Amino acid sequence: MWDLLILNPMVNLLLLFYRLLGHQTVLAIAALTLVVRLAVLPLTLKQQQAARRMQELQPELVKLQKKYANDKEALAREQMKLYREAGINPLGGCLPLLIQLPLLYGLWQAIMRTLAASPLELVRLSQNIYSFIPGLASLIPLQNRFLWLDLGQPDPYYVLPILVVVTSWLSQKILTPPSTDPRSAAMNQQMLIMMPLMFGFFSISFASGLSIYFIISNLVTLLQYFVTPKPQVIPAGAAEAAKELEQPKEAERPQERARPLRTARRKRGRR
Amino acid sequence: MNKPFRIYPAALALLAVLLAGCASGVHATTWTTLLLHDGTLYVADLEQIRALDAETGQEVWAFPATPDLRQYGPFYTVTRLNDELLMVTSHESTGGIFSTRSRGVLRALSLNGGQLAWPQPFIADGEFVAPGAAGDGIFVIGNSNGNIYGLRIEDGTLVWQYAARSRVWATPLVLSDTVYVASLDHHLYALDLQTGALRWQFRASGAMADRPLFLNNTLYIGSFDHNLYALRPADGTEVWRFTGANWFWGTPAGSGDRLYAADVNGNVYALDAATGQEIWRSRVPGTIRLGPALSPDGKRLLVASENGALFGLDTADGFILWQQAGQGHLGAMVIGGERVYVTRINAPQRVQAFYVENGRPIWSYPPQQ
Repeated sequence: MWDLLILNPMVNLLLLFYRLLGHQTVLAIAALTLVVRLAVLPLTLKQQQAARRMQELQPELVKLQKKYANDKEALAREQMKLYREAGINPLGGCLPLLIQLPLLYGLWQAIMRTLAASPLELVRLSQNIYSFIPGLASLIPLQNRFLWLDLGQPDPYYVLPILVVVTSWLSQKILTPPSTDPRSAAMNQQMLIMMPLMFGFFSISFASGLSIYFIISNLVTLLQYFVTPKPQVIPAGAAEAAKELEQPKEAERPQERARPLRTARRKRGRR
Repeated sequence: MNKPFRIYPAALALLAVLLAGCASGVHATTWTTLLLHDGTLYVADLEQIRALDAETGQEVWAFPATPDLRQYGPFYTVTRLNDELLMVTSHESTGGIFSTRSRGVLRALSLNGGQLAWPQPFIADGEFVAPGAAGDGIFVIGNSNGNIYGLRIEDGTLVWQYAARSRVWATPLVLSDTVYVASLDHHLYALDLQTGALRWQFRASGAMADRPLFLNNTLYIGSFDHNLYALRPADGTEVWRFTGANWFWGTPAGSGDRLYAADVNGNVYALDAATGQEIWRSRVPGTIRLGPALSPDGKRLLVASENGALFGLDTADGFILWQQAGQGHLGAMVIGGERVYVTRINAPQRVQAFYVENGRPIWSYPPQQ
């Protein structure tokens, strides 16, 4: 079922792009990545919108956390009430993400399958190609040379892994909203380091065609960020509320909270 | 905290761990092969090259004596050079700590005892996927880097090399003073065995991944363009072509005026070798990569599926007489008398012997507990 609905269409689309774009594997990967990212764009925007609305509720949530610090049950009840009143589904951002993930994983798998670096992969590919589209099988194997790269092998000079880390960091950085909660801010900070390194590790270990996909995908994320409306600024109240809530911890870890407060004040000043 | 953003990295991290898990451990990238000579099976078994008694499956010798993947890498193919020597290939990893780039290594071993026969191995910067072929003092083998190498059997020195336009994953066929090698670049090359000079080339519309069959003074080879071609060995002229339902990967089998081939969809075809006319068509479940094997009496056709199953077909009409399920991928299949021997990867039993007549298992290696 996975092959039928996700993998086969992507593999064949990749082959069609390969044929249309003059047998250039990198261009075909770029085109397929763009198409898939475009297809999930409504979901991405919905997810970002949900995240933004959650962000707007932060001040109220912080207040509730303060008010019901010792009563978790009441806190949960009041939080749900707040969501209901604001017309927000707290899991509203998850559904688009859950739909996107299989598609993005399918894209990853389609690229790896079509590059068919090993004989075992090539045999599997034989079952993914539509026989009703004439000439697709004749495209196999794809041209795997690009500049110094064998797209079916990892980059021996580590140029692509470095680019993957840098672009992953940038896209992760812009996607992570400033948090008023020091714990979330710390976690975000950790993820900001961990995720790019993890993708860098993949890039070192897997086919460089996959690194091309990572880089293009990250660039699309950056582009998408700059052409879509920006998230609204954090309401000033959130910063103040957080300050009140986290007063004792501030003395211990002043640097963790410094950035959100400065951001909030600067933006308030602009307004 | 903002929940969607908490879940997003967590999901990716989970995905990362899963993929990292997939990448670890011994990972076979292609199939293992075996050959039968004088009552002994010589098997490339990833960890070692093993000589097994074909009658009982008992190990006669192994190279290296104890598995050492770090030094040798996994062994994939084995070829008999002459009555004294065996050629084996392995893939060694090179590069940095994380690198998975591998290179192909050729070693000659003595048939009797598995001793190293060349002063040093021959190393290429791509993988040797299929076994080579030997003739008149020259050993020929294709590589994933697109080169076809001709080596002196005596000491492993490079005599010539021919650059194809893409990976060469097919076993060459040596006939007299010519070697025929198929490539994924859609070409079948006829090269001078001693010099590697190109005599002719035949271009199909798709890749070719296995050795041609020589029968009745004709070469038969399948292609990913769904065609099975009959060619004149002298100049590569096309005699006829037969179109199947999907890629033809493995070498066809044949005897007399009959040709048998299987496409990757599991369609098995019996054709008139002279004209390419279809005589019958049968279908087995699964993907068929390996070429079919014909029993010595010509009555049984054995077909191996990528999902590990083995089928015995009646050559008269293609009726499936028996099937034997199995684990992993079937690597190679060799018929010796009334037995068929197969290798498997990603399975606990890596070598097995069955009766051709009914598919009944005879022995397995390692022996089943």
